[in-house]
Amino acid sequence: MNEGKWAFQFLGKSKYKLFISFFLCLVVDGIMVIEPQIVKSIVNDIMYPLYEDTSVTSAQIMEQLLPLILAALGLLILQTVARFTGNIFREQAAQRATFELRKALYTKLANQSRKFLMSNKTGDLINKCTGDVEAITHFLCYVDWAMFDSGVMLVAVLIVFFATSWKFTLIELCLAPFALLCAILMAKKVRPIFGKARKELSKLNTIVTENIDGNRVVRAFCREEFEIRKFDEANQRYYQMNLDANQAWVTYSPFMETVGNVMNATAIIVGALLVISGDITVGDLIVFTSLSWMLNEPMQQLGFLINDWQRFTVSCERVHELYDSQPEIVSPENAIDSGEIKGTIDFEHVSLQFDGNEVLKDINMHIPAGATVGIMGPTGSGKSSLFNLLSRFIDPTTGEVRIDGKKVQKYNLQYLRRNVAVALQDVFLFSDTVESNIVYGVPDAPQEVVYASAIDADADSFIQKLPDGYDTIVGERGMGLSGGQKQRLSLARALSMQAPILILDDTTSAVDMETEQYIQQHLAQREKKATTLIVAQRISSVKNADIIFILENGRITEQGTHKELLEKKGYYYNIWRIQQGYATEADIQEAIANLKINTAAFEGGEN
Amino acid sequence: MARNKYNVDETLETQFNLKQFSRALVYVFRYKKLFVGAFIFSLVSSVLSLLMPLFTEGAIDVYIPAKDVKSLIFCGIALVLIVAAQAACNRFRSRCTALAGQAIIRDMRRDLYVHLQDLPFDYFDSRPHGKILVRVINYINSVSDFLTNGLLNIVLQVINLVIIGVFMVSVNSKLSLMVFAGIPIFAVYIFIMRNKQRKAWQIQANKRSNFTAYLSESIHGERVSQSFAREDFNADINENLAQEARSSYMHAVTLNHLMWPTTQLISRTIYYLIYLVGVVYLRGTLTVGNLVAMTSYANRFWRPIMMLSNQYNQIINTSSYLERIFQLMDEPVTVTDKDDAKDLPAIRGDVDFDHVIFEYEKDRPVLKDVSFHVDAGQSFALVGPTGAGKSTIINLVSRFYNLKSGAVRIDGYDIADATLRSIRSQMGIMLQDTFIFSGTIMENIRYGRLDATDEECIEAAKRVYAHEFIRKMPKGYDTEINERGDVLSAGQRQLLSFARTLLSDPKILILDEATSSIDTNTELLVQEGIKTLLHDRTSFVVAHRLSTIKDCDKILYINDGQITEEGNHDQLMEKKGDYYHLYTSQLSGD
Repeated sequence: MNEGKWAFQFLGKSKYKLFISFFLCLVVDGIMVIEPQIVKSIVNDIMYPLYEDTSVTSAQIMEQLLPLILAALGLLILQTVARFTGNIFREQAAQRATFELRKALYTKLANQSRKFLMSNKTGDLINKCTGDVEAITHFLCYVDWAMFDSGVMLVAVLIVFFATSWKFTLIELCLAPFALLCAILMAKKVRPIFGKARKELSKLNTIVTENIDGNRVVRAFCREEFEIRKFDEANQRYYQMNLDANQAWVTYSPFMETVGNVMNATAIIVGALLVISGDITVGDLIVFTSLSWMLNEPMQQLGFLINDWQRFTVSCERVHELYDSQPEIVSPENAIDSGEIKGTIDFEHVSLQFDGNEVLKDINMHIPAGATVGIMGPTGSGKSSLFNLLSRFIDPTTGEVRIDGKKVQKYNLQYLRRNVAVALQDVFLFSDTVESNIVYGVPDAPQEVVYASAIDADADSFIQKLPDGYDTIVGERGMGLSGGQKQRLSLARALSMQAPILILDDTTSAVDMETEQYIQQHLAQREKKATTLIVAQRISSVKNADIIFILENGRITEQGTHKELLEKKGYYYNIWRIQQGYATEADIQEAIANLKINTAAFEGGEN
Repeated sequence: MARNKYNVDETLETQFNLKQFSRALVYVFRYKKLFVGAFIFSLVSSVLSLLMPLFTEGAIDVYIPAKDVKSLIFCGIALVLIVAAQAACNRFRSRCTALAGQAIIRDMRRDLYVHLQDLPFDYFDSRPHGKILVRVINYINSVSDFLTNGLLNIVLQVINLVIIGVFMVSVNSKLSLMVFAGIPIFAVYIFIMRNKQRKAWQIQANKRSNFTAYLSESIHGERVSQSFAREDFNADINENLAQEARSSYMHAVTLNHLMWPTTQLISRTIYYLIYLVGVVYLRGTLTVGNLVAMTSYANRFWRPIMMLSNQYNQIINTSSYLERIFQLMDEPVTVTDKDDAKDLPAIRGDVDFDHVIFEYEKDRPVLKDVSFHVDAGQSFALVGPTGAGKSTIINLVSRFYNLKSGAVRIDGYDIADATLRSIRSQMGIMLQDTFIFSGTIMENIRYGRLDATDEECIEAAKRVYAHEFIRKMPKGYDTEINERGDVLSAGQRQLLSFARTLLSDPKILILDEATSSIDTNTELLVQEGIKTLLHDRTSFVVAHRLSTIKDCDKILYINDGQITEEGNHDQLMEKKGDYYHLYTSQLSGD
């Protein structure tokens, strides 16, 4: 029930609408009880006595009949209005809650940290925000009302019954505990099944999502059949879970149904026996038989409601879990969120551990504002982690990262990130127009900024050739564009931020040399030169930098200008030689030997 | 190309027709035994409920006045038995419909999914992926109830209606006409509402799809959004989409909620009119008993109609989803095996492009008359500016697209006549986008060859020097990675994807910017590691790092969809053309 309470908070002021709809439900029920009385009166008091009596004129009958019929129709119209209004109010309230819930969940999701994103599957997250939220909606707009309705009916009829004859009522109710027991047993049984079914659906969701996203890989490896097999298994499991839920339902629901129906069907018999024994009058019996359906109805509903309730609590738990997840990295109180950032960057004894691995060890860097810095190093040496620290996607285990002399932890998160423009290694474009993608970080940027950014990133030329130019919609993840085109869009996107710090994480690996040179020239000529950090594998990308850092195994092993590093004849020099095409068999053997030493050292350290 | 984004509704040309349902019925018919079973149980249950009045009326009319306790108890027991039998019938009906319903959506979902496997890249590239997902998962779930209980109820209610109708006419045809008179009014109502309701639910389906699409993309692109501090702005977009979903739902559901009260009002008005008509016109010709009986028939005649009006709402609602589902199923498969397609025999590796013209979109040719020949076992590099058509050439080798004209031949066989399977299963394609599936690292490597042993997977990883970083992962090869996550760096993902490709033991290896994020040393090692492997296998390489391509047997310089230079490194350097220019520009400034 706590889970339920939690969901109800999202109703906000709409809870009054829900209350009104509950009240209107009483009106509807009331009229449902009154209207048959009018009908009875028409039949018993007017039609039977007068209709075949030739001494009474039709007009006289009409005189009596019309007011009753008009009253009945009036009541019906009232009932219709009440029913409709109640339904709409309930739907509105449920939609309101759904809307608030969706808003809240989105905000939660959008602010999650790296760890959360790594440990949650997309399919599951989507499923929670769609299917599970819909289960909550269903409960709010239907199940709660149905429970209320049944409850009111039950209480009302029991009051009448008890007032008329407690004996009759007790006899009728002797089976009720049995129905209740069934309800409890079913609830217990069905709940874990619903939980599993939701999980299975999430898995199915994940499989389909990945299949759609990875459609190129599936085709390339000819893995269609494998993918279908994988899907079939999950699909079958989901099917089985739903059937299991049904099995629980058919195990218990017949008993609940029978109890209700027995009450209804035998009311007359029990009543009759009590009349015979003199405990009740015939009049009482008529009351019982005419109202016994009101006893039956809630019992019939019981099973369904229990079922839906369990479904609701399971979904609530899942959604609640997502709702409660807290991002690890948040803005501090009294965060710096205004003023101009110049772009001085300091790394001071920065170390970073992740999953027990040392990713960065004692990094020290001082980068003056406006400088261009190149960073090179082997795959997985921690280059991207430097940037994650700078934009505070992760916090260092020890040491400090400072921008303009202030710890990055002191800045408002969004303010910080707005000032650190990143062209990420993995180019993710959104299925939106080229222009919207370029101004992703500054949606209200003027046209000039769009064009200037595109031109500086050398994207303008190919954008012009697209079918609709800047209004062309690109596919999700930029599908349909070439790798180089995507990278240039990603660069334009970063440039449009006009941030004092610019990070280019392997941004030009898929563009040709001439384009790269063009981009470098344009970057250097930009009006307000940003502090630029370039990660690259190509010497050509970094050789003009003011300083180049070589990162190996999480440590800075070399630093200096292109020239200085070449003279050093270390890692950088080797790479330069290979890229120049001077690599010899000896170089290769040396590289392999180095790698083995590294690995051996690592393995030794592990033991 | 008509592309779609998250906040654009997808158009739907098909008109409302029963075809959607007849297609859905194909699935229903697969489980007709279960339906017949459910139908029979429902029927028995209805018949049983007809038996009940026999006992209750008997009790009231005979046994109570006679104070016959024994018979009363007998009646009671009989009623309990009937009720129990009914519950049993309902139980079996529920089981039958659950079995059928779940099987139907399982089958339908499977067919949709299988069809997805055949759709061209265009389909996936031209709309947010969430919009495809919502069809396969959410929409399918939404149609199951209608296709079982909904259909069954319609059949039962219609039978009910016909029986009562016939019975009513046989009792009093004149008054029956009055009861039927409500039907045209009801029909007019339905006619007026039909298109409104249909449109409203279509819009609702669209908004639901938009919402899901944006959500899904937001999750995928979360890193970018956070980097660009877009959280608040995106939250506003999400809010708008959620608001649209909400108001479109409210509009549609309001129309639905009008249905029941309207039907009820019509039905009750007719009910009371019968009394009035009876009193004014029929006195003397009809007994009061008959008149009262007639009203109760009218009641019973309209009850199934009211039930059907509920089902009608469900039909409209469901059809908006079925349309979308079948629209996806009807999406044409453009690249597929010809009817007389043959398996390509074991590939030696000669590749020919013969006057190939290709366009993604009409009249925008990407390749303009490209011809070249690659000898088996040669390594073959494609260089040139971005967007020149290098990746396109590679996509055509594995027949990811159909040509406009010309032919691509492998070992002399036109691949347009070969089965896709036989082509692609012999090729190792490393794409620009290194998509990694969620699962363990081992599973991801094994994707290249499903029957590979752990040792073989590790061997492949070692060959591309991925072994070292994998060993360092918390659980080594059993480390779970996810499709979106940043557990691995881009370079590491490329290495993994390389291992996956090598494992598939390709006859032709295609590397499209496959090593762009791998550092030069590792790349060198990788090249060294696969040298023996590449021996007498044809390979295509697209790369910008010249060290990657310098040693290739043949280099093509592609510009604007045409081959402008062709030869090996030395020949092209001598030529002092585009390639020379490119090469020297990379080295300039030293």
